[in-house]
Amino acid sequence: MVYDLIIVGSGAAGLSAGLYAGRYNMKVLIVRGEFGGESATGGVFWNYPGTGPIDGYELMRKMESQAKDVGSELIDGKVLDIKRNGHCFDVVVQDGNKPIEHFGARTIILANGAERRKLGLPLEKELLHKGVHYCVTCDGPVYVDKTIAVIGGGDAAVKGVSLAGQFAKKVYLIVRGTDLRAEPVNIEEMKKLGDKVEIIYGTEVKELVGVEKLEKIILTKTYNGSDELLLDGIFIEIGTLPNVTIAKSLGSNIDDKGYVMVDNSMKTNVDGLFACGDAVNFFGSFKQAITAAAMGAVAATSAYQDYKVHGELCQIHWIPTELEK
Amino acid sequence: MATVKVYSTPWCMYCKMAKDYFKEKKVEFVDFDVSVDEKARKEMLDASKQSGVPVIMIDNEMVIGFDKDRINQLLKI
Repeated sequence: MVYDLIIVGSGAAGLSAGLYAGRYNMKVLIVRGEFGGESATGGVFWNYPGTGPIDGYELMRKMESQAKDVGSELIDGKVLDIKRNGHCFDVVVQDGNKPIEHFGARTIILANGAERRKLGLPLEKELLHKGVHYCVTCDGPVYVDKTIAVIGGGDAAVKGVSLAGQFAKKVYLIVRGTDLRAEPVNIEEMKKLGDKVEIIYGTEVKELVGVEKLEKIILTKTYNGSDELLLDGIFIEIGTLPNVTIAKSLGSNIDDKGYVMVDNSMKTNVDGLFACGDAVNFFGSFKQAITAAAMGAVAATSAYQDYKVHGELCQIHWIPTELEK
Repeated sequence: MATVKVYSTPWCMYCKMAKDYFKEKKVEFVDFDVSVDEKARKEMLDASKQSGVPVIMIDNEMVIGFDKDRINQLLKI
C-alpha cells in the first residue's frame, strides 16, 4: 500500500497536517504514536482561539475527529524506521507486540514532537512514579495533603503548581533562573494559592534521595538554612527534547540546538520530507498547540505541492519490500 | 465478563485514553477519581506501591499505566 502522505505523530502538528492534506484529497495515513502529543497532557488551554477554555486532551480528540472526517486514516504504532525507496519512502511500523508492517509513502511529514527532558540524576529512573513524575496534570492530584515540588520556571511548571496546589498541602517551585518565564495570567493564578506556594529561585536539584520512594532532594544551594528539602514527590517540568532520530537517519539537517532544520514551508533538506511541530527549529522556543497546528497546515500544503509534481515517480520506481516479494 | 476498575485523575491523558479504549471496545468499567476518593486512593497506593495513574485492575490483575497490549491480553480482545 502506497500512501500520498504518511504523517508520523498525532499531536497538534500531525493532526492539523492530516486535516489539511485530507482536504487536498491526498491519501493520508497518520501513525498515531502517542495520541495528542504534548498538547494532550497540557491541562486546560485558555488561549487556543475559538474554543474557550478547553482541556488539551479534548482539543486533540476534536482535531483527530476532523482529520478522520476528511478521510485521513489513523493507526496506532511506533515508526521504527523510514527508508528511501526509489522516489518514495518505506515506513516501518509496529504496534505493540503485533507483527511489523510496511507502508509506502510519496511524501512524509515528521510531526513526532519531543519527549520530556529529564534531570539526568541517579535514582531518577528507579524512583519513577515513586515520588518522581513528569506529568503534573496526571499525577499531581494523587498527592492530596502532601508536600511536593515542581521543577521548572515555564508555563507547564507554573500551571502545574496551580493544579497540584489544589490538592497538596505545600508546593515548592524550584526555578533554575532568577525569574519565571510563564504567562503573567498563569503566574497570577498560581499566586492565588498564597503561602501554600514557595518559589525557590536560582536553584537546581543536585540529588534525589530515597529507597522505596522519594524522601528528599538535595538542592544546589541552601534554602532556609538547609540544602535538603523533605518531599513526598517532585514533578519535573523542565521542557522537552526533540525527537530527531528518524529525521537524522534520512539525512535531514539538525541545528546546533538539536532541532530538525526546516525552511518556512516546513521542507527539510531531503526531497519529499517535511517536518513540523515541537521537533523543528521554527518559532524558536515558543512551542504551543497553536504554533504546532500552524506548522502542520503549512507542511501539508508543501507536501501537496511536492506530491503534485513528483507523486507519479514514486509508483514507477517503487522497489517491492521483502514482505511484498 | 471481567470486572474492570480504573483509578484515575481528572486531567490525566493516559487515564482518558484507557477509558476511551474501554468504551470503544465496549468493556464496562468503574472509574475511581483518586483526587477526591480517599478510600480508592489508599487502595491504589497500597496495591500498586507507586503513585502514577492510571492503575487498572482487571479482575485481580493489575495494570500500571495505559498498557494496551497487557489489557488486550487480560481481556482476551
